[in-house]
Amino acid sequence: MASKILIVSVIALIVIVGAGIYFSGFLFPQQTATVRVGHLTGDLHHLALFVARNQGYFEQSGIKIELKEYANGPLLMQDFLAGELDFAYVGAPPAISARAKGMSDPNAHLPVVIASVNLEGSAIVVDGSIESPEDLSGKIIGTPGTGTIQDILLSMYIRDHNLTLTKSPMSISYLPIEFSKGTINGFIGWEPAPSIAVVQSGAHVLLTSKDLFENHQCCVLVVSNKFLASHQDLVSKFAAAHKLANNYIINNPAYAKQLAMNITGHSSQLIDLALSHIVYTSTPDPVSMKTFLHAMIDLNVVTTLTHEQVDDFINAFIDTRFI
Amino acid sequence: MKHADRAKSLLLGLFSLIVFLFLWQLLAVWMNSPFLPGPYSVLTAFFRISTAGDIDGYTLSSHAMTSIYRVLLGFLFAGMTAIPLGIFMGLKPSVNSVSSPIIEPIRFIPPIAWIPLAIILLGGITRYVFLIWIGAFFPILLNTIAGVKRTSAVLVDMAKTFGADSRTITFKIVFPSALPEVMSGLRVGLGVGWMCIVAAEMIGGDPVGLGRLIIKYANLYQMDVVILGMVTIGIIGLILNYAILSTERRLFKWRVEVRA
Repeated sequence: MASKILIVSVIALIVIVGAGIYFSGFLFPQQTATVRVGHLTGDLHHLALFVARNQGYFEQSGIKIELKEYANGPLLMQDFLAGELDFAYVGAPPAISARAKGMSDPNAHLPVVIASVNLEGSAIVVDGSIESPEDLSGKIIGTPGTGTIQDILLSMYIRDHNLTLTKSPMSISYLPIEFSKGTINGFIGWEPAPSIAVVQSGAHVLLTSKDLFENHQCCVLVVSNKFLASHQDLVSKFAAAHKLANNYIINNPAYAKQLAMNITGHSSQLIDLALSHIVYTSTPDPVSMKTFLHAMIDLNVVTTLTHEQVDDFINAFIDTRFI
Repeated sequence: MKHADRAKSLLLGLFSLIVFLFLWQLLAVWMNSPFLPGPYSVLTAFFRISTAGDIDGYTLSSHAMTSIYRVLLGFLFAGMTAIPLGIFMGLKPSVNSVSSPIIEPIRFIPPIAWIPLAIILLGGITRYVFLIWIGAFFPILLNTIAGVKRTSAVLVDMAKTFGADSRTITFKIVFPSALPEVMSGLRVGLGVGWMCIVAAEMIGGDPVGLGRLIIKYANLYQMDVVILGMVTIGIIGLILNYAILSTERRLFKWRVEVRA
């Protein structure tokens, strides 16, 4: 009897100790998967990515991120289509046009939206010669590149208000420089570029993207359709970390501001202005994405779809299972 | 070259071009990718952009003429600066010794590396001119120096014997003697300058230019127009090269290298 109790006790002890070791991760540490994540140069819209990294949300989910930086959304999406990225923080229009173009290519890695990154977040800043939107006619206005969300927003505004101006596409980092030199009369860009021109070069905000298109979807978190098909668990973890980070920004604005200052090196005043134009949310807005796509078809930015296909396209483009 | 030989060469060239286009179309059909359009799609894009213009309304001819203007302006400045400097450096070894430590490292800096500096310091057309100048300058300079050094010492000595001053020797003996090399330098320089145009127009700022057309449509994933821009750059480059080569052939018929 005593020996039986002893054997049972030993087995129970082994099970308890074994379980303890297993669940503490000492014997079998959690597997870490590396994912490639694209984002844009100095884009405050993508603050959630840096919050998730700094707060260790990715690490806690067993994800190691390899960051790749791009000058604008269309450039990022070119790499994305080629399979060089698994996830990307990018403007909705470049992701839409990349998917629309790549749909007929079975080898292309098509973007699927799994979360929103932010709404709005851009602004048109101008010099003293422009006081009202009507004054934009005949002026040179910079954009961060053809096909970017800002370029589409400006084209939509020009079309709707029957304006004639010269668009001057260039890298986002050059926009405030060209403005300060007087080469352009103003520009539309993602934050903090417009705020840089306001604080450093005396520009004034003519229109925010809220004025241009209220509550419009700006950046989205996309995953490659091929990656999604084979790594649904990782996609789920990544989306959860992203949502956690976006919530952290909303609930801890002081932390968000300090982080924004750290990663951009800009002043408190400049970051305050920039952040006031951005709405952080993880819930995608299909309605504004449909409006964008209709406009992109009208503007010949998307040539592979018709207006009748817009609803089906956007429904297949967004996957809200993970948010 | 006899007429029959010329016709044969032309036919062979035409045949190879047709084979190339056929293989390209075959590859496009086989790959069936929206990112590799065939020659027919590019031809369609040619008519579309030539007549209706691009997304901002600029036609192919306005893109091409703008690029040609920028390249020729940059090339002109390169010639105006590199040829006199090359003659001076070729004639005066001490000048060569003084300037070589500065010029030699600079010539290895690719034009694209100058872009950030050009953006900060220059504006408008001057930045295009600068980048094309930096690309075309060194081939012209080095060829001019080589041409000057190749001048026959016998001719120079003879001129001195007849009492010619240094100005006469430079303009009547050295420069004409160096001209074939100068022309070769100009031809290479124009080629490099033309290749720099895409890099220069990548700077952005202006919505027009062949480099800008390529980037604009790469951002829209419309590769037929991207290839159209590339082909246009190639064809114009070829025409410019041929124009200089023909001038060279007419001017220096007496040179074995030119006749060949």
